[in-house]
Amino acid sequence: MQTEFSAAASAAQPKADKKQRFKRILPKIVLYVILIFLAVLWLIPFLFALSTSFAYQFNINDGEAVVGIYHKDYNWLWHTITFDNYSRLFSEYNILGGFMNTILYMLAPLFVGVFTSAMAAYAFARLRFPGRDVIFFILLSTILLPGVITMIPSYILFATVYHWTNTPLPLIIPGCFGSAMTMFLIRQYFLGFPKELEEAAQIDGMGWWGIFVKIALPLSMPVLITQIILSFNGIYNDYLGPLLYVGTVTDLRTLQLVLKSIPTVGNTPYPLMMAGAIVALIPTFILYCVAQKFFVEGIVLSGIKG
Amino acid sequence: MQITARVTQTESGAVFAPSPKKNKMNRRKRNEYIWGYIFIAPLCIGFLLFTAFPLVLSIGYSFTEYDLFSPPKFIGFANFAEIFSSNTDWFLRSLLNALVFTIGVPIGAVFALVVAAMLVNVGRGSTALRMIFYIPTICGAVAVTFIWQWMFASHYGILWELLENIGFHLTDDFGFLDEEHFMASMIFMGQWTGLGGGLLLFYSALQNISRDLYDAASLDGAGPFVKFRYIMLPGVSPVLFYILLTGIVGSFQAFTQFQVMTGDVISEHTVMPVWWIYRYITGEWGYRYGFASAMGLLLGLILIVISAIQFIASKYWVKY
Repeated sequence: MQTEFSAAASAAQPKADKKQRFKRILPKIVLYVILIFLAVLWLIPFLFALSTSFAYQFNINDGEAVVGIYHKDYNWLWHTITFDNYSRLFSEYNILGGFMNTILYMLAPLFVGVFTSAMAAYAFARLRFPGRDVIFFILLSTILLPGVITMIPSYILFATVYHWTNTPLPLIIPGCFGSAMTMFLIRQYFLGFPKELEEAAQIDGMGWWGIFVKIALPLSMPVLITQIILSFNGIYNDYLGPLLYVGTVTDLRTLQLVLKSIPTVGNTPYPLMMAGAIVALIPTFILYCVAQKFFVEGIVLSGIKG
Repeated sequence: MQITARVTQTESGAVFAPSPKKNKMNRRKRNEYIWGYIFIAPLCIGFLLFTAFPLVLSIGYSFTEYDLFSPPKFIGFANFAEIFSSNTDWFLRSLLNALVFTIGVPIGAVFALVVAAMLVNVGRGSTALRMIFYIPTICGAVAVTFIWQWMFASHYGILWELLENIGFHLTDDFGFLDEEHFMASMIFMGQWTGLGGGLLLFYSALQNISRDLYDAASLDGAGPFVKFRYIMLPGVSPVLFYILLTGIVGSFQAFTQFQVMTGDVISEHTVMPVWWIYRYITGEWGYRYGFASAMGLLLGLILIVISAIQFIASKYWVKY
């Protein structure tokens, strides 16, 4: 009796099992299809731009027979290829000079700024001194301060007191003093690891500076790298700051300003604009590929702690 | 008063003198104080020079008429009065536009939550998918806006073609970037750029919710809605709060994509607050720095009030 039953059951099992497995897997397949479709949608603007950046600009007045954008036969997936747009970027628009300026302006804020932020972060995390909590609270509350309030007064200050307009100094000097947000995130990291090592060093007679530079900083490399990478991307993409202070001086323009100087009205040169966009995005893409982990950590960290 | 002071002095003197151990303690403490102040000095000096000082000035300049060349002239609340009464100034209009633009924030938050919920339920490949969704978030606004300007282009842009191909017949006077559709298009573009950040935050929040909670709920016969309402929503509420807070403040201060998308051609339908204030720096609208400061201060205060309201409201719906 029992054997009969089990035999029947085992005969029916594969079919039922298959059906059940399919039923279990089906929602997952649907999810994958939706998500992959969405991911393709998310990539299409980049592909569209990349494709167009190699296209000709069809110009009726030229009387040329080249099929380019604005031509009825133009197809964004399949068209004649030209590298003209890219060469124009380098010859007519000095995009390389813009890139060099961007890098030049960011070096000091990037490294000095993160270092000074880490210094303050260390003091707020480990040292005890009068007024510490009050100062920390004041600094912290300014993170939420909308930047637009200080936009005009800062400009006035840089123009009248420091005489820094039309120089890159307003983009460089303030950044070197560090930022409250960076300080806050690094401090969270310092609070997260045990202080035994530092205490041991202290007993051995090491001073605070030594402990900070030789012990705390090396231990916090991951968070420092994250902050440097996020700052790099932020400064690299900044548009309003450079526009305010060096926007009118052609030779001082950053990459974003050079990109923006491509005329975008009239017979809009979309292929040229797309080439510019692609060139401007390349450093970001490279950084993202190399240091994706840090980007993700950075955003999640600032979201959770902030 | 004097007596108390003397008593403390002698007391501290008494503590100080006899015990060398205590003395050493104090020296160490003083050393710690000094290093503490040295460590925070750069950040604090930078804060005073480039944040606190301009902040105080912004309040001061708001009540003046100032063109950078002659000294500022105190005019009381005239700047604020002008903002609210002027027919030619677009600042209020720009606030309205910004308000419309913030509609994208809750839409984006819900969208990001839905995609994040889908992503936690697929195993393999979720990392790669997240990485793809996050790309637009880190891209520069100028390049992104260039790309979308081309996507939105009439007749030749990809969106136009798409709509034509699926059966819509678009007339010549239709444009994604014309007066009527401009804000909707900017919100649409904002969904593409903004999804990644919210998605990553929601994803990590959802992963932190214990599977046991869902299993227990299933045993009790809870359906998907109950699970969403009582397990998922409380679990992600801090992230949702953070996204709404930073999203709204950010939307109100959006500048680059608007200026680039319109080719710096300002109109009632496209003007945004920061853009409007920026015009006074370039002098296109006259060198009225006092008036511009007043607008900046007003916008800042509005954002602080909005944030405060959100913080107070969060006590009732955010579960930490």
